Amino acid sequence: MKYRLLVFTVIIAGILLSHCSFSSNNYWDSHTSRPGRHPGKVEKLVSGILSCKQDHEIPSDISISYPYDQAVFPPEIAAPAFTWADKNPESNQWLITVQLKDRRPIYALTEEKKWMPQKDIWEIIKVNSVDQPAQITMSGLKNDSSCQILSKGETHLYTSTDRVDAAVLFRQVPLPFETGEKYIRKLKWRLGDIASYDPPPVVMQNMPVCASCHLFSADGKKLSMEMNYKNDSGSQFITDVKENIELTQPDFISWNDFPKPELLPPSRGVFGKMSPTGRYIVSTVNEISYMALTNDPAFSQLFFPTYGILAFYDVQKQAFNPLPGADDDDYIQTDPGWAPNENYIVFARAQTKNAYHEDIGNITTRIENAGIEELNKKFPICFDLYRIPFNNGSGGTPEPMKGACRNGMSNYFPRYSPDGKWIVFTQSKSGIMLQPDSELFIIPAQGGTARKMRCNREVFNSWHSWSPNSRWLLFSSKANTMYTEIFMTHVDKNGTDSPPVLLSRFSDEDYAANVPEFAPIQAKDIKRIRIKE
Amino acid sequence: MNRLHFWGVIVAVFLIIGCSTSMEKQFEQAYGPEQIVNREVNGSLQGVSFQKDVRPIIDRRCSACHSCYDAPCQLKLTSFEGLERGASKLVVYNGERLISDQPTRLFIDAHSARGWRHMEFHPLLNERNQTKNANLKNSVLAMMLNLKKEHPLPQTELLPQEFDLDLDKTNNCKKAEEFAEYKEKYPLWGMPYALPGLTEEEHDIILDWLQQGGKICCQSDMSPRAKRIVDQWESFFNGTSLKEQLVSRYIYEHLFIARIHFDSLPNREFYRLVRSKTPPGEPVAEINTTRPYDDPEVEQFYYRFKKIESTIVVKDHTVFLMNPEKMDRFRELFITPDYKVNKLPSYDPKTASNPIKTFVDLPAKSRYQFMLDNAQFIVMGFIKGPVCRGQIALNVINDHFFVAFVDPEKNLLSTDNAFLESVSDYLNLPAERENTLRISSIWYDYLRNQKKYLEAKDQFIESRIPDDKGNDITHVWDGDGQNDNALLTVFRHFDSATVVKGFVGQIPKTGWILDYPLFERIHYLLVAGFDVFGNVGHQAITRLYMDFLRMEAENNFLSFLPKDTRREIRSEWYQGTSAEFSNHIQNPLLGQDRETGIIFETNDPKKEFFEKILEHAGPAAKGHDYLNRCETDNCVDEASNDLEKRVERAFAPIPGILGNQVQVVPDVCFIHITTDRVENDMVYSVIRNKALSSNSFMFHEDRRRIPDHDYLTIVKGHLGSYPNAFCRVDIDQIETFVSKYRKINDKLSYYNFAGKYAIRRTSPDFWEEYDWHCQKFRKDQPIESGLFDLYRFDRIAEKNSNNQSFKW
Repeated sequence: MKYRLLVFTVIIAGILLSHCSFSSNNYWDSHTSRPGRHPGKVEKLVSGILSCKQDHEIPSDISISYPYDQAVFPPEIAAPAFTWADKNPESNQWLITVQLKDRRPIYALTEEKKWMPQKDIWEIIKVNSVDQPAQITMSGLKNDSSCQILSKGETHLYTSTDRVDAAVLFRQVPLPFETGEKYIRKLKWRLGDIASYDPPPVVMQNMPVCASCHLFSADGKKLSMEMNYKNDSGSQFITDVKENIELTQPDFISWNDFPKPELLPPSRGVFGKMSPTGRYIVSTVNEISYMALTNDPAFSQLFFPTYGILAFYDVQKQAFNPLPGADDDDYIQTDPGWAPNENYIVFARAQTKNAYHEDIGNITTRIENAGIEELNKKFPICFDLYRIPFNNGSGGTPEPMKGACRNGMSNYFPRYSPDGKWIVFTQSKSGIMLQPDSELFIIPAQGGTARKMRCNREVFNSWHSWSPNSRWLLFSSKANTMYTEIFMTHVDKNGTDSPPVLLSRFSDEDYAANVPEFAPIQAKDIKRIRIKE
Repeated sequence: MNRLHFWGVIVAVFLIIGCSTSMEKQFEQAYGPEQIVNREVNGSLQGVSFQKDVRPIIDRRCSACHSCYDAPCQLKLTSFEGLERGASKLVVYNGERLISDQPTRLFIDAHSARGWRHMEFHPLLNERNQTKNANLKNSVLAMMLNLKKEHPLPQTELLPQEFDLDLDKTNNCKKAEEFAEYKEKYPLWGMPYALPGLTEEEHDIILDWLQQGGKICCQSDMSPRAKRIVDQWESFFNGTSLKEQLVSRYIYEHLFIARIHFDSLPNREFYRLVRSKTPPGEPVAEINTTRPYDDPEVEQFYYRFKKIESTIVVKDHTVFLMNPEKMDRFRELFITPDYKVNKLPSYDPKTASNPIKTFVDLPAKSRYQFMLDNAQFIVMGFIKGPVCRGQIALNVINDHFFVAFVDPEKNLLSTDNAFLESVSDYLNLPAERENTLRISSIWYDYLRNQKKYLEAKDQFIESRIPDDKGNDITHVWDGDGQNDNALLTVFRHFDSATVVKGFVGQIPKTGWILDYPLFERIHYLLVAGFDVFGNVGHQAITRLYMDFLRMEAENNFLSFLPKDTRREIRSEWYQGTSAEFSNHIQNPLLGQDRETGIIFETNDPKKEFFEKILEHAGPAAKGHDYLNRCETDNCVDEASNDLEKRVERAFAPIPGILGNQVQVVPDVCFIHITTDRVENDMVYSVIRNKALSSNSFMFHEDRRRIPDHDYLTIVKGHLGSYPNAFCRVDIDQIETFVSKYRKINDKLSYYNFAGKYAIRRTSPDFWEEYDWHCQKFRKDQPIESGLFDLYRFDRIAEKNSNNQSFKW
């Protein structure tokens, strides 16, 4: 008896669930399900519309905010949420038509201006949009049995055969920016898998100290990250990648151990980058930075070093050394990027701007009752990209990077593609970080004509990271909201990129998702990172 | 104040008095009662000798700060007498005092330890029971040196923040009984202050000398040769006729601050011309009046030469050379001319403070020629004389300007006794009022007088030269073809200044042309009549009056330029509404109606005029300044040797460094260029000239600064008494040095530059470098040189100890 009851309950629950599911994913795949005798709501609607003569030209009143037209998706990515706006106030339901090559369309109906394809539908879309784009049309309807389409809009997306094959380690920061431990404890670090339909798991949180720049070695075996261990802003850890990373003193180095003129504040080791083999870390040392908190929550800080040189730490020899060619007192040399075979370092360089400090012997964070644009005008700084041979630490003569130098703009955050063919960098009118007008540019690795990337969104594009196979580029943008989101663009072998894909699952309400880095590992490879006291 | 607060203060005062009394008792119990100690030993002295062993150390390590009026705690360590006098809590440079202070001039206002104790000086040497223990334990000097030894200066890049290098810092003039508190509060403040300590050997020598009682053996006597020379000069100055007495008074009032050097005596032997109660042949008994023209209050006095026993420091070393030719010149100027003196002038300040009245009987032309002959000395007196520091006094002048003089043969008003007598009432000087607080009304009186004088001057020229064609270049004194006093350059370095012969440096913003009445008044205003111990009114009126004189000198300069350019040029010198208003009141360009007699060919008449002066002065112009006024690609002084030529070629860009770039470099930097052979080492000075929108106001100079107009001047040799920095570079690095220097543009780039080239206060070889500069200066200028002062030696940079890097 008990068994019967259980079976019955399961059946009822299954029916209910399938019904619920059907209701929320109100779709009809016309390719696999031909019109039948008991057509569903969508099928009926579609049939009605198809047999109905539209009495007017349908206005293109729907603008699809996502996916971006012509966007290229990675093959393993989870389904995105399609979103749009409809100018016609009478539309209160929308028919989504997905047209794929050599295939009958898939239809779906929704009463929201948002649609996320069911997993199986999404897989069909991806498989069928490799050579030809999937065309997705949204048609605005009035829920009154009328067959007239009130508005329409369409977008196209592709799916690449290039897999990402890497996880994404990124930080979530509540806005507006604040200082102090209470705020820092709210920061979360997640290791995301783009294929997952679940939010990426938090691997590090409730830390008493701040952490920022981080990088994995090319083989994914090492992780290095700036972390203010024991209140030392110059600390950075290098550790083996494992499921549970427990950081202890020996994992840390401190850029403060690099010899420093007494006048300077302690070295923070700004923009430190581990080399692809994990043998070296290069960073800005002896730096003085301008740091101001603005009155704009979206761009809540203006930060740039005004002075500093590059130095590297040799993990094997456990020794710090200045990097000749990037150690000139007359410049600020910062924001380095490693060539994949470690033969070059590209970095941002500018004339020092120490006059911006009221008192060079007392560098403080300024609280400015001004927005970022106003501060940029008051404290302009333009960086150029230079490269030097690394020469096992002997450095060399700095060479201006054609396409990223002396162009009247600030050029910074250079990142070599792991195949060594390209450098993507950020450009804005001024500054080195968090600039509203920042855009991504690509140049050949040895320098050349810079091309503005298609992936750029309207507001703030920066902090990019190449996938291990050099086909995908992560970056952050504030295109949609003041809370930074993470995007990804496909870059083909010619360095041509596409409109980006938004990694919407990587965003949390009230949190900005930033400093994303590809990790050449699987997301399950790290469960937790913590400081073991 | 509430009652509790009131009683709290009362109790605190009692506690402080109680503690201090208690310490005095403890010292008395331990070391006996206070007593004056006779330190002079007749005959030979066993053990450490002050003159031979101790004094050279004190000279090298202590006199660098403890000299002149600005010595901390008035502790002058340039002589044994200064050391024995000790220290005082009274401050000489006090711009706020309402009543003048009693002068405390060493060797003048008291002559014994007892005398100084009455004048509130406390001892540095033990003045209790003379035991070995007490000699050390009750000596502030020993305590200060021991403190330094216990807490040496950290050899860090930055001087620790707890050192206060502010010129106006509160002096900590502690007695032995108060030293424990000082030691606890300021452990790093042993002596030498904020500089490396003495070597072990130097330390031990001084402590040994102190332990043996701080004795001194007999002072050296004048050599027979010196006696002979002095006799001749004393005989000259003590002539009995009224004419001779008046001439001597005139010369004395100009030379009373001079370090007189007789050129046949050793280079470092100097004398002061004083008024003495005793006649030649007897020991000098100097009459200690505040001013040289004050009533000596004795029936008869004598002009005497007193040998200077103090160590020579350059900041107050104003050399006047005497030799038989000079005596002949004095005779030629003052004795030979046929004129009569029927009555000696009074010493009443009303008359005595006005040299135009006092010396009306002396031929004006002789007086002027006497001043011209020694122009650099006289002008240097304005700077070094009684004011070895003083920004308020000095901000009356620009940082860099040229000075020339009108030719006595051409300038009638400078030589016309009748005219000068007729206007002498207008030329009264503020010292006639001595110490006063009626600043504004007195200022107005003098302003009115100055205007009347300028009008009278104008009328005089009009009446005497009705068809005057204006001043031409021959109206500028050319030094009679050989006197290199003809052209001078003044460099002001914040609160000190230097005067050099020739036109040195770039074409400056302004120039002065002095005539006799002006030249004489400046001397009597700033030197003869100035009382550094005077009250605020005296100091303020002196400063304000100097405005009139500066403007008169500038207007004389303008009178040589095309008439239609004068107002515009002057408006560049006095920018801003306040300055314009001030000009309207004080300086309405009186006497500028005549055209110039010079034909100008360029549209930069100021520059052209300076060039014409240089050409006119010919040999007296001291040559061309290749370093700063180079108009070709390869300017070198052909007189320079090959090493110097290399350095000078490398330095060529430095005078082109302007504006913001020079804001962080020191005012006076000595650059030591090392070579393979020490004897070939060279020194150059880099001077920072700071621009002001005007000099019309006494205060708030910082608000009148125009940093964009600042520039650097480079000078071969040492220039300036108060170096702010020392740099050292090998000649093989000189081009890199200059290249780095040119890149200095903020405090950090200066700090980095200094890290490579500067000798810091904390450098272990600091004293070695200081000694090198002093020795080099002495080698280059055996008579005019002196020890440099380190009171203004800058920190390289300051770091706030609370500095915290921001945290994300």
